[in-house]
Order: sequence, then structure tokens, then C-alpha cells
Amino acid sequence: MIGKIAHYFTFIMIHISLLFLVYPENIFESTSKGHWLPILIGCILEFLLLWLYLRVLVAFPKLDVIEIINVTASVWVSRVLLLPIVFHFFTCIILLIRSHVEIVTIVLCPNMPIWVLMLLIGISLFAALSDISAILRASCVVAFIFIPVIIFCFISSLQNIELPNMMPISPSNSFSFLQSPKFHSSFFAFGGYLVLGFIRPYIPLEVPQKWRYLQIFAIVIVPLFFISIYLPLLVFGQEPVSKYLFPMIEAMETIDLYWLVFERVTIFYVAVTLSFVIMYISLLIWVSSLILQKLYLPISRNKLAICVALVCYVGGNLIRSWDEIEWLLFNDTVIRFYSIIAFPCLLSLLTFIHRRRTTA
Amino acid sequence: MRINDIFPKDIQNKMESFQANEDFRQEQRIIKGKRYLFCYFVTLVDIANTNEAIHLFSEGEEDWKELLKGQLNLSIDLSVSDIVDAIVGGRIVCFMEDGSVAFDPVGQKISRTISTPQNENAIQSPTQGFIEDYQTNLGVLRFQMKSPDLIIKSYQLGLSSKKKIALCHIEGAIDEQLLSDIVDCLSSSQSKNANNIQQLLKILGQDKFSIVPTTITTELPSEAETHLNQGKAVLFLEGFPYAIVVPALVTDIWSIKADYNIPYVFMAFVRILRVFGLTIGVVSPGLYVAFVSVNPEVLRIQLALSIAASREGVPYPALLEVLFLLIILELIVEAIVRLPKSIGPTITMVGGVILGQAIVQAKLVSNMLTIVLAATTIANFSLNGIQNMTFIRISKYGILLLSAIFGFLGLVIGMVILCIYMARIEIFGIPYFNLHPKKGGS
Repeated sequence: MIGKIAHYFTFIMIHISLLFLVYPENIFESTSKGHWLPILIGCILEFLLLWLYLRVLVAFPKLDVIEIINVTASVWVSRVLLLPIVFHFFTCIILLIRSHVEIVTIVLCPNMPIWVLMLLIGISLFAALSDISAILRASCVVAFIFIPVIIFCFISSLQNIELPNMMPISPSNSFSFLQSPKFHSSFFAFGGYLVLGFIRPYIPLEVPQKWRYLQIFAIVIVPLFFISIYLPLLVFGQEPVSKYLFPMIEAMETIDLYWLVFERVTIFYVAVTLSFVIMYISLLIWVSSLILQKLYLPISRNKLAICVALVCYVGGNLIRSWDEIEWLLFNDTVIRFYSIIAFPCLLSLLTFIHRRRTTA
Repeated sequence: MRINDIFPKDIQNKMESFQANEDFRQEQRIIKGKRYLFCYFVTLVDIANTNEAIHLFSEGEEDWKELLKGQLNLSIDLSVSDIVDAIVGGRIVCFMEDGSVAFDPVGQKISRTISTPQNENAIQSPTQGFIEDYQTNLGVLRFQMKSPDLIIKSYQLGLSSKKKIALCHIEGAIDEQLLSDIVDCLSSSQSKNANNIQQLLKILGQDKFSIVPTTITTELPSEAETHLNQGKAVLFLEGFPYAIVVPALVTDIWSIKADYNIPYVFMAFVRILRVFGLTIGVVSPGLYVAFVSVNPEVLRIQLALSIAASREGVPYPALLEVLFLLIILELIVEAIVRLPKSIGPTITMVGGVILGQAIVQAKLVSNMLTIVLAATTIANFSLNGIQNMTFIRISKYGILLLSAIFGFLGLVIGMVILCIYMARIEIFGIPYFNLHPKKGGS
């Protein structure tokens, strides 16, 4: 039944929309060999954080993150703690829509002005104006229709891979990539799980579901991270691939199937990822407007959602080039690390203190 | 003594207005020394057979009123509006010195007999269809179900013309909340007219501008049975030869309940075919426009060239070309629906053969487009239910327009918007995208 699986599909879709655009480029620029190590570090980190986050959520049935902080600390604490998260969501929306619009102008509609394509945020708004269950249902169906297309793209691009390109497989000894700003930027792709805490009252999330999420992460999403790096790497090799701005897109461009009536599979890949991005942004708009309504501005959530979309639309239009996107990605690092890494830890710390206090 | 003496004062005016009707009868009889006045419409009452029934009952009885009570659905102590409703509703009203009674006579045979459905063909399944008569429909359903859990409740709605509405459900299968919502809607709308489905949908509180059908209609009792067992409610509107199933779900687009009468693999096959039909029906005109006018580089070069060659000489953009032919196609569909079966083939020939051939030769549209649109139309009509077909017919235009602007991207965007739109729809709190009519969101 759709109601029970929609949120898992949404979870997968969130990660697909996050990881195929800027993530490969960031990883290729941060290290030149042993790519599996940075990927694995990121994945293990997200796995642990996801586990921590879900543990807190399961401990407070029917409460979302905002209410959990309200209960364990106070409203003011949640106002302070969640403000960076809202900023993180805003930059996420802007980065996602703007970077995908950039790709679309390159691959699909070269003559279309940016501001017209940025109007795609209106579709996300259309979804965000409805119930969260409607967004989840729509995401599930979109994922259901389009994930086969993505899988088809992956499988058909296997024809061009050459296994020796994987070499050198041993990582560099110095762990120098840990200091690379590009590696820090790559954590953009690991923040997808934060949304779960805010939609928690609307999805069934108990202990079995917690393990199911972790299983899905390990079995479905971790391989996707590896595919996003190793597919372009195996097709081109390290030397050319580090020169490309969009390694995944270039890998798709190499596909040439004689029995297929289509010459360019890239176009499907880009359009489909964009559809996932639209759904993820609608989720982000919904969540941001919910936080704003519950903590800062007690007016109708729909009005706030419209405001969020407008701000992001204007913000996206202010970005003029790909360099500015990377600049934003780089400057967002502090807030991103706070949201992705520090926030779940703070949250579990708060609940831990709360437990101690109530049991004592 | 004048006939009209027997009427109470307040009913006299009404009776005089009835007397203007050619088919209104007032008959005075003396039975066992008592005076009775029978009023009825001769077009609704078979009086010869009714007389026989009355005689049978009244023989040897002093007061046949008591005896009739159980036998002919006798109602006593009637108000003026009761009397009017009874006469219009085909009953006989009998005035006596001490009051008036109404009872069911033997009716005229007005409705047709149960036969095969007119608009819904079923292969290898029961072929009885619902008819116009309300009671018969309920009887057919009872006969089909043979279940003690089938509950039928009746409501009478309307001001000027009162129509009966039956609400059927299976106790235990239906979601309690859904049932009580429907009951609330029906019982709070006694004064609203329900002469057609639009009015009924308004009573049920459905969105007037929804392009997704929120109810489905079926002519087959076996379909209605499966819907009921699934936990949906079935409504019968008096004089309307269909069962109205609430709520409609997305699966109803491609699943017909008669599929269960064929082996599982065959069922899966035909259902997958219908899902293909759904996809082609929605997508293919948009795909054509996207690939011809915006993203021709996507196609393999040979194919792109052959399409370009077939469009050679067509003087306007692909969008107009598609809209032009699509509108003609829709008009053909619309024209054939209401034509007698003997004229229908003429339209098929003129529309299909002559127009199709000539329009290509005149270079008004390309060869390829006629193929694409023919495939679209065929795919469209492989779906279940005329309302679902119309929903798909309408939604393809939105996708077509988006594709003309954004190309293939527009097509994907259009599909996403359609998904969001459908996901937002809830019918009595049951999401349209649910696979089962149960409450509870995602």
C-alpha cells in the first residue's frame, strides 16, 4: 500500500536529487586516487547520524523535532537551534534549483532564460501548498515512474566502462582530502535525512521503521553514492574526469545504443533528476514554512510557503554563474556542518539530559 | 352528493389542479355500504390487476383497511404533501369519510426488463445490467451479492421532484468514517435536488472543477459487487441505470473487476497493457511536439530526418499541427457517441479514411502525426470507464502545451504536475492514490 512505503521512496528520491550533480565533481577535485575512502567516510558519517537522529525521533512518538526540543528544553532553545537549519534549507533550495537550472540550460533548453526556468520552483510551491501526505504520495509516484529511467541510464552506460580506470585503488596516505574545501562541500549530498525529523508525525516511524531506514540507506543509497563516483571514473579515468564540471552528465553523453531510437540518453537523465529535485524542494519548502510558522511567525503556513518560494526564487536569480553557485556551496559549509553533524548530536544530548532529569 | 365532497378542504385545490391532467382518474366506489374515492394516474397504475388484488383482500372483510396494511404497503394519516407525493409517485390514494390512505397498486410496466448493458461490454463475465427502475436495481444487487452484510439505506432528496437515493455498503468492509461522511452529506441535503450526477456530486461535496473523476459509474452488478467488497460505497439514483461508486481510486483507471474472471497471468497482461495505454494516451502528443520542434537532437539521426521529411510542406509549427488534428479527432469521437448505430460507420469512414488520407495529401499535417494521434486515441480508449478516459483526454492537452514550450523537459514537468495534482485529491478523506479505500495518509 502506498501509505506505508511512500516515505521510503521519498527518502531514496531525496538522495538521488542531492548526489548526482555537485557531489561527483567535489569528490574528484578533493582526491585523485582511492575515491572509495572519502565516499565511505561520508556514508558512514551519515549512517551514524541517521541512526542517532532516528533514535531520538523514535523515543518521542508523534513529536517532530521542533516539539522534541520544546519538550526537552524550551521554545527559545529551539528558536536558536533551528535558525541555522532554516538557513540551511534555504540555501539547499537555492543551490538545488539553481544548479539544475544551469544543467538544463546546457543540456535541454539553451535558449531559455534562467528566470523562466527558475519558475520551476512554482511547481514545488504548488505541491508545498498541500498536505504533507500529498507531497509524500506525489514523491512516491514520481519516484515510481522515473526511477526505472535512472536505472536504465546507469545500466546502458555500463557499456563504456573500463575496469582498469579504477586504479589506483589504494588511497593516498596523507588523508589530505580531509582538509580540501571541496570535500567539505561534498557533504551537501549527505544532508537529506534532516527532513525526516520534521515530517515525523505524518509517517509511521517506530523501531522497525528505524531499522528499515538504516537498511535502505546501506543497501540502496550507499551504492548510489558509489555509482555517482565510479560510473564516470570507470568511463573516463581520473585524469579527464577531474577536468569535467559535470562528470555524471558527461558519462551519460557517452551512451550510444544502436537499438534505441534516441541519440542522447542524457536528456532523460537530466529531466528525471530535475523532477526529483522539484519534489525534494517542495518538501524543503513545506518543512521550512512549518518551522517558520511554529517558531517565528505564527501566520498561515501557506503564506509562509509562498514567501519561502519567493525568497528562493529571487535568491536563485541573483546567482549569475556556476562560480557563484560554488561560492555559495563553499560559504555554506559552516551552517551545513552545523545542520548535518552538530544538530543531531545536540538533539540527542538534549534528550539525554532530559532523560536524566526526568528519571532522577 | 358531489365527488369533491369527500376531499378534505385543504386538498381540494390540489385535486382540482390534478384534474386538469388527462391521465388522472377519480373513481368512486361503494364497498359494503361505505363510500371510497380512489385517485391515481392511470399511466402509472395497472388498475385492472390492482382491482383483482383489492377484491382478493377485501372479500368477507368488514374493514379491509387493516388487511391491506401489511400487504400493499398501506400508509394512513396522510398530510397534504404526503397525498401529492403518493399520487405523483404512482400510488393510489383512497379517500374515505374518516380519512385517507395510500397504497401501492400493481404498477404499469414502464421500465425495460433487465438486459445486457448498453454502454459497458464485459467479456466472460455476467452480462446483466442495471436498469432505470430503482427497486429492480437494488433487487439485482441483492440477487448478485446474496450477503447478509449488504446494507441498503434509502434517502429521498429534492424539492420539486423527489428522487430516491440508495446507499449500499458492506458492513465490516467499508471504512466507518467514509460511511458516516457519506451519510452526513446525504441526510443533510434533503432539500437539494438530485436530478443528475453533477447535482449528486455537489451534494456529496466534491470539487466542481476537479478533472479527476471522484466517482465512477458502472452498469454491471458484478462490478458493483467487487467495489462493495473492496470497501467502497455504491449509490443508486432513481431513474439512472448505473451504480455510482464512491470513492474512485487511481487503480480504477486500469483495473476492471471482470479481470478476475480470467486467469491471473492474463489479467496481469491486460492490466499492463492498459497502463501502457494510459502512458501513451497522456504522453505521445507531447512527445511528438517536443521531439519535432524543441529537442530534435534527441532522436537518432535517421528517425529525425524521416520525421522532418514527412513534415516537409506543412506550413505551421508542430503544436498547431497537433492541436488541429487532435480537435478533429475529439470531434469525431464526440459526434459518434450520439449518432444512431446505423449512421456511425459513415462518420468513421468520412473521418478516418477520407479525412485522414486527404489531410496528409493536402500537406496540412504530417504522416507521422496521423500515426501518433491514432495511437493516442486508441490507447486512450483502452482505459476503464468513460470518465477516466475523459480525464486522460483532458490532461494530455496540458502536457502538450508544456512540451511545446519546454520540450522534453516540459513533458516531464507536466507529468510531475499531474502527479502532484492527483496526489492532492482526497475523496471523503481517502487519497486518490490509495490502492484501497481506507483512510490514513502516507
